[in-house]
Amino acid sequence: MKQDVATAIDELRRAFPDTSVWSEQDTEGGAYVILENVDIGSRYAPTSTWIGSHVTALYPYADIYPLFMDASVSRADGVEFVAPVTRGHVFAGRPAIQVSRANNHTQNFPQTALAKFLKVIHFLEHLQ
Amino acid sequence: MTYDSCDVLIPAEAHVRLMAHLYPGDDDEHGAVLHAGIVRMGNTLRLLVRHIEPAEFGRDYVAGEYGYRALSPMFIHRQIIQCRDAGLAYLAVHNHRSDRTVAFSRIDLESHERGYPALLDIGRGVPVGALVFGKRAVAADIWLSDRSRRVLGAYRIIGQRVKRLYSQPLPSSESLPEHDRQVRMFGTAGQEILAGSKIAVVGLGGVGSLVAEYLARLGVGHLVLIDPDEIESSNLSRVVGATPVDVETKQLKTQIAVRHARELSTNATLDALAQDVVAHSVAQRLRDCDFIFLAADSMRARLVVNALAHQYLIPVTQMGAKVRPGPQGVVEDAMAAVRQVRPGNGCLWCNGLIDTTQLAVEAKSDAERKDQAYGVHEPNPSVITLNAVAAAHAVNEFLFDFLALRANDTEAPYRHFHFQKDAMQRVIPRHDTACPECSRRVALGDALELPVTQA
Repeated sequence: MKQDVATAIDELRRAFPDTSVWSEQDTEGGAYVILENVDIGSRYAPTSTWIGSHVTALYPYADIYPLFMDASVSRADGVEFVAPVTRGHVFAGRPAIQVSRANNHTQNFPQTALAKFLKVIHFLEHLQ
Repeated sequence: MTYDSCDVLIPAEAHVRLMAHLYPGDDDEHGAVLHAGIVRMGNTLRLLVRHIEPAEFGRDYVAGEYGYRALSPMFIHRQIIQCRDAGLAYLAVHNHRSDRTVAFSRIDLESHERGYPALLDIGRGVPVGALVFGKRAVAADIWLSDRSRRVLGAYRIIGQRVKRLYSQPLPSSESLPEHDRQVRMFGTAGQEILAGSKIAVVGLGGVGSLVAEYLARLGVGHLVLIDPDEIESSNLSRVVGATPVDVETKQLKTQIAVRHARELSTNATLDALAQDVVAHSVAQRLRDCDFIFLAADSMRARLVVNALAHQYLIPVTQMGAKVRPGPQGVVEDAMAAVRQVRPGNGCLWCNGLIDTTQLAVEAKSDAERKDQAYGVHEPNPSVITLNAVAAAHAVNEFLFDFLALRANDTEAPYRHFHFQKDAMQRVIPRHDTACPECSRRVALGDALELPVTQA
């Protein structure tokens, strides 16, 4: 695993101390990463889920895109998800919902995996 | 005793600053220390000037105990420590008043023999040495940690154009009859430069295969041909040298390019790398190239080749062609792009030409891409005539820049050809001084990792 990718996973572990972090190296030096138990708020049922993504070998140049959460998650108000949140995917062998949030204008603002996970969690918390 | 040689490369802007310091118009001798990135590949050694520390006259550059003037011991000590800590070579510089021929004096060489063994110890493995300048000449005495020494091969000034200085004018040579007509344009010296050059073509599709053919016909001495793909029937309309039999027998594009280049240039060294350029083992092979043509259409290829341009001071030309079909058979837009990338100019990263989301997508398997609904590589339109405009313009610009056939740099290093509008657009790229690629990497050589994959 490349050092930048390992560092990203360490940052996620430190930022989510109460959550177990699963990771598996890909063939290029990147890694598939899953935070097992993340609180996404009372707007969802269940209120917590795993969230995962592929931190590729070209991190931090490459975006971390897309992120995934457990396929069992629904909106508490019964409204079905619409793009950019879509059902019917698989991530690391798990049935998943895909959350497609790309970074824009990142060229000279170094991204971190932690910031990307937090950005997507924030997006879910405020999804109308 | 004969020594192996070592090339020294310097960004054009830095060379101008250095010459202004050495020749301020007082007809005296001045000094400086250069901090230089190191490139080691087998027996090849290249030093890349990253930083100039001018020696202040009278404080850092003082009357010498043995010779006319010398760098002060305190100044030398500060510089070698900085070089050691940064993993950069230490090069002491001074000037003579000569013009097209220059050499170290006996006193210069004796001072190297007294001082450099100690500097090598302090530097803990970084090369140390000296350059002496005439107004249009440079000589070098480089010492390595095994106590071997190198003389200067060429001092290359890397700007839009590549200019070369040597310790003395090169002897004229004879050219082969097959190059007679082109030698009448750029001379035997230009032909010698092509014959002695190592040039990579990344991507051997519609544009890259043409570039490889042009370079082989021009007499480039060493070609590195890179493409991971096999030829497909849909490539036959554009990939020069490819035949239906190649499709049937699943030939690699590198095999076809090597075969075709060998038919055209029997003496050239041809390296075929049938892998993605972003793989560590492939990118490493490009560190001592003299020029790179980037004809691959992936963002990851752009990322690593752009880094090579800045980190190793290798001039790069990126090329491509794009067609946007419109309704009722009318083409909405058809364009070819040729973009020059040089240290401090034309960076693909700070000009927004490397899509970070696409970088993430390219790391996924076909199954992942399909599952994640990115589309499964719907082929883009591609036509050999559009590719030929990009390839011919790119290689033509290469000749004018690499052989310094123009008196001045061109103003706009990006060119976009819009065929529907019958227009050529000259584009001046931006340069962001905060860019993590073209500012941070410049001339660091082997001291910094390239953005590559482990596979």
